[in-house]
Amino acid sequence: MEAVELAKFIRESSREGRLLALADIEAEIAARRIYASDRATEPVQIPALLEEAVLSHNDIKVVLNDSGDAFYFSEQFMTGAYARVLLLKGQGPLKMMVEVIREHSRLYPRPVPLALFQCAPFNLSNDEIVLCLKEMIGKLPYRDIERLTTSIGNVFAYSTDHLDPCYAAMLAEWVDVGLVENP
Amino acid sequence: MFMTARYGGWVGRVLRVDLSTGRITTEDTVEKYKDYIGGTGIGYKVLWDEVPADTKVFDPENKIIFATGPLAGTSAPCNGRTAVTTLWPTCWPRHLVGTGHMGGHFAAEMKYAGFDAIIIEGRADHPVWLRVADGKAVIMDARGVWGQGIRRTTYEISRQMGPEAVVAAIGQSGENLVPMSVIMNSVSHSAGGGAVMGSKNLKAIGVLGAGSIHIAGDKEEWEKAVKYHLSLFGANNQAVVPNSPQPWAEHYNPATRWVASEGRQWGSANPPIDTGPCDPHNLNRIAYRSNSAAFFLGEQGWRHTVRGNGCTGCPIRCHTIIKVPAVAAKYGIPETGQNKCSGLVFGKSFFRSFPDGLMGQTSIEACMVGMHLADDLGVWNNYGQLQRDFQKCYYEGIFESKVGEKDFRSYSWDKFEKGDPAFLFELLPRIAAKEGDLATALGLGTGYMLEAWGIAETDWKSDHNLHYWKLGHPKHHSNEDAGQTGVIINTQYNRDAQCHSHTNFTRNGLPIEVQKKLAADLWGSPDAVDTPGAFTPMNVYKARMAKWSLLRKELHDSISLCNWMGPWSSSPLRERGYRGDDTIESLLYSLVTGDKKSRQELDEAAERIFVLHRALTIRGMGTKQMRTKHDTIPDWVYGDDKDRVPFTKGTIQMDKIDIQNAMLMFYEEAGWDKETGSPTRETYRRLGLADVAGELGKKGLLA
Repeated sequence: MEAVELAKFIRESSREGRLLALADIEAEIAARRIYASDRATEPVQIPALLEEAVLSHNDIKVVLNDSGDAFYFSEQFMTGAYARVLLLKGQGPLKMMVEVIREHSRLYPRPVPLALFQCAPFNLSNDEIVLCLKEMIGKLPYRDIERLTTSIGNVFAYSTDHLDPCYAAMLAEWVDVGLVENP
Repeated sequence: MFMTARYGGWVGRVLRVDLSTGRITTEDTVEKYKDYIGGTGIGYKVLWDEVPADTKVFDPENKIIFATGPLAGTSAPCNGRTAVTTLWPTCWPRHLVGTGHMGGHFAAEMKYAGFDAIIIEGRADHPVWLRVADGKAVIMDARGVWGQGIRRTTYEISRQMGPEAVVAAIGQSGENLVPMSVIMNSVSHSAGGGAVMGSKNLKAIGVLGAGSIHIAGDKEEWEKAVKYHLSLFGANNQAVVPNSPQPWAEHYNPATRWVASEGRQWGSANPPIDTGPCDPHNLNRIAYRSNSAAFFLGEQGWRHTVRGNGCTGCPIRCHTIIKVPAVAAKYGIPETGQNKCSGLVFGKSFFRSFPDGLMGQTSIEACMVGMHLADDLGVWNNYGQLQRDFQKCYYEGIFESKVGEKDFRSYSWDKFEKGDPAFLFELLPRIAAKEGDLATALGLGTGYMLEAWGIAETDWKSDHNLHYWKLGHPKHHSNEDAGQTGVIINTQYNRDAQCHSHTNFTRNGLPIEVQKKLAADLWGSPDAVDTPGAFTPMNVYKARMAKWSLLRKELHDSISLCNWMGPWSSSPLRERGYRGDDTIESLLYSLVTGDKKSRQELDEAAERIFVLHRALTIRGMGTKQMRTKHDTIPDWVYGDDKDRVPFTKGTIQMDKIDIQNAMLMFYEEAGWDKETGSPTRETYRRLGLADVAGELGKKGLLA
């Protein structure tokens, strides 16, 4: 396989909304060796091939998870931000929720309506969300994650590292009630 | 030969109809009104020149002006705006100048019929409607439709004129001179002022024409400009960030009106239509980005959506058509309805609760009943103030204490408390018919209702939940959205401010750091904007943003662009750093008219229009003390339910001294006298309004 073909393969995956791990790429190359005429790419060459794909194709990007594992995507079909959401999704619902909540609290800043995690690409069920919240309670790594309920009963979460409770409550009420009452 | 022949955009003639004499004349748009562009500019100019300050709202001497601008009827995006200007019937304690802004298709069709504006004056001696077709106007007998609702009137006039006709009509409410009445075209696009039409015995205006709008500039350049403009579009209210993660997006924000996503469907279309990811570079998918029903009604909104609908030339389609089959059998009303914002939730907003919750089936049925009744009877809601007043008056016992027992007991309050939409059949027709003390008072508008019942306006001004601001009207995007900038904007008009220039920026969905970068480009410093609920003390950049916002509103209302979408101060385009383009108006104006104007020159024309509105207000009030008598701010702005102090995170409370400072900074930016808040002679002169200054000077009304 040539770097250009590898870039094409990464783009196709990105178009379908998938990040590619090294293992995915190795499996694809192995499959092509078996089912096609490409027998030139040995596993040992794959890192070099990936490096060439990234260097020679501006849209091919890499993101790393907490363990330093690399994942590849094409910016033609997804942004780095979306790729990071997919990366978090691959690390399990609890990690994903916590990191998204922290990022929103820091960046925008705002608390996150828990209903958001039912949307694509998070796609968590209500039961999964409730389970994750239970897992966070009383655990040191999640001590900054707090919940609040708006006047119409919707639950939001935020990080106390970035938002104080009073401010978070006001912002949640604004999003949940204020925007509709002030159209 | 008309001067307009030198220009594109304007069709060249203004129609003047005197209903007292039946005299119909025309005048040259460009010759008389070019400096005022169109829309509100024409409306204010006519009121200034022709309607004396002591005129009462229902006097035949009051005039009502339907006016468009040079972009109406072209292919410029969001051009479907008609400004309706008159003395405003709900402005309390005196009727000052006000405007309403209709979307729909009236603006374009009026121009295709040959007119940039229609000035209605006098009063007919019997009900009439005005037929305007292919350059000719005829006053028609309306006795056959008098007493009918807007829907039947529209259909009957369309039957006579042809299916392509666009009809702006009043319902029974306007006929009965209920101040809280609308004028409505294309069945769901309304402006207030319906009672002024009623006072003139004018039931409707039907427009029809086969004309076209001449584009003065190079046609390819024009097409390029339109495409460029569209490329800057976000979703409704110029939200440039989707509300959930999308593959193409760097940001998402659950608060925005960009609701499209793969898997979210218009559920009542057959077959259902998936809205998809809506990459902003795909201009053919703009119409899928927004869904007012989904934004205001949640998941059930998606289920009941048939499609989006909207105004001429607008890809946003913010009037979502919803289908709720259950209402046909239950209430005997059509199973489809369409609207947005407070029009969509008109019926629902009367109730505090419903048997199946605020987002249940009953709530959407209340929306359907409310739309059906209000949009046919022609009842106005004053940006939700009608419903807020209603709830306060009921739950605080004001109705019971102020209206006669028989009248009070004639309503099924048990139905109301249970959240039964059928209650609306008791209330809304009575408002339109002025039937009984309760309904008649509600139809007066807040200020006159309070006066009639001997309630101090200060009671309303201190209740944050009422959103009441002044002169009988509520706030419209104030400190909750934009701190001091929002407060300044809400002091300037004689009804709710209807300005979206600031809020279409602060609600665009971008992170605060990105907003601050854009703000630095637009208003000179990142400090022009704050995160909502984390406001900082006043600075000159906020005053600049306020002035810019007001001028862009007037520019849009005169050029015929939608200020519910513009200005395009940000965009969804990452490659532009999310920058919009605040020269888009001058680009389109210059190309369509051939009258090349820079951004600054066009802003100066907008300032002329805005200052003429100020002069009309000064003359109407008979005082130059605008700062203390007009630009007032309700007490609730300075309160906080948790006693948090201003400029701490979590409160929208403003500081009195800081707001006084804000007003002074704004007056200085505007070139107005800081003591009185009135424009100076020099400012009038700079804007070509020396004659206006002269007249005010003679009356002792010049600062």
